[in-house]
Amino acid sequence: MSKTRPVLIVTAKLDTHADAVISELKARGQPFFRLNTDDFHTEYRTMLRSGDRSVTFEDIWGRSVRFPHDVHAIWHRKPVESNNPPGVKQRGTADMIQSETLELLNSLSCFHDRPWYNNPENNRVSQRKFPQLCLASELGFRVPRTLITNDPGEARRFAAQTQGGVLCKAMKEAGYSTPNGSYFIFSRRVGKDEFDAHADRIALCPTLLQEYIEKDYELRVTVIGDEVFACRLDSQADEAARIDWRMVSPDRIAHSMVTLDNKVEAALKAMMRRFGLRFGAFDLIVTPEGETVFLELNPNGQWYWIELTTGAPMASAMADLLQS
Amino acid sequence: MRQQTGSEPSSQNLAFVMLNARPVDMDVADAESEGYYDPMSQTWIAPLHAQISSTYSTHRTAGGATSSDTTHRRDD
Repeated sequence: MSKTRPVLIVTAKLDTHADAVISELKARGQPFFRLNTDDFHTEYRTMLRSGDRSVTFEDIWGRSVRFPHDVHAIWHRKPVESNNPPGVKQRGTADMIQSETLELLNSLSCFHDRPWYNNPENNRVSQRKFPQLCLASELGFRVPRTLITNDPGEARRFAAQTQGGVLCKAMKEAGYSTPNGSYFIFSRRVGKDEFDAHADRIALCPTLLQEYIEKDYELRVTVIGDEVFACRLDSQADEAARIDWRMVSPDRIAHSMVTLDNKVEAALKAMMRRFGLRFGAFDLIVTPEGETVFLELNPNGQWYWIELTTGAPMASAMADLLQS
Repeated sequence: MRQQTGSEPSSQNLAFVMLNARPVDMDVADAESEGYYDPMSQTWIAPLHAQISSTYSTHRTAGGATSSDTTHRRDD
């Protein structure tokens, strides 16, 4: 385990996951360098030098790190867009600065000679719902019968053939904003009458439709390196959480750590290998008949609330992985 | 679930998937039974709606919706 070279953590200022893992790293004497990308313009200087293929970050407190040479591993947690430099207000200028800054940060992912958790290029590919479903099926999982289409006629035919109703969810976006407000998009079971009334809208935007599969409970499985944390979420006890548990506070849903079936665990790890991931958070459901169904993979998913709820030592496992 | 159909001036142009949307910055008075999504903390815990604007605007994922998106703050 490294205790000499620092771990580079790329995230945002408000990140409780990073805070928890950093506490572990500090307790172990493991050096680290935290890059909060929101404060990029006010708290960091950076130099990318072709001569020695390096990226150096220095913060305003005099700390520095040279990537990849002096870095043990890099944890790509949850960076966000940088705030505008002080005084920059004009939209075009801000966009230009934002784009060039992002390009700089994206350059890090080209270096493969240090362990990434995860390389964002792998996250970008593996977050996509359609390839996830295809691979999960190939690996032996049952997956919901799925149609992604912008053809209302195909959608109507799909819905007509789907017993148990149609579930609609976004492929990527968690929400959107308009001048009138901001909106969060949940997964939702659409009733037949509503589907019939609005199916023409599918022509406006590719839409992911799935057969709705009844569940006994849900599983949130977080894989951190070789460690597997399977958390059972008893969402069906709360009417508001039955379709999408994010509709209610997690406090209202019973969480309990369980042991996964060996075959399920092996398949999840195989999926991560195929996507080049060392971290992943999976959403599965278990039907009343006991069958496990794959819903989706979140390659950079959230997990710390599970530790706080159940006591599962996930931050410690993450620190282990970063030091390995 | 609160649906957006008819609740926005442009509702006729809403895509099908946008019917799944739920407002997250409505007046507190409207938000009494609305919420949630937190898991630590990709935010929005209505009626603390001040948080959510940071999720969808100010605090956008680095890379946003561009083809070069490198990160996934929206990844649950």
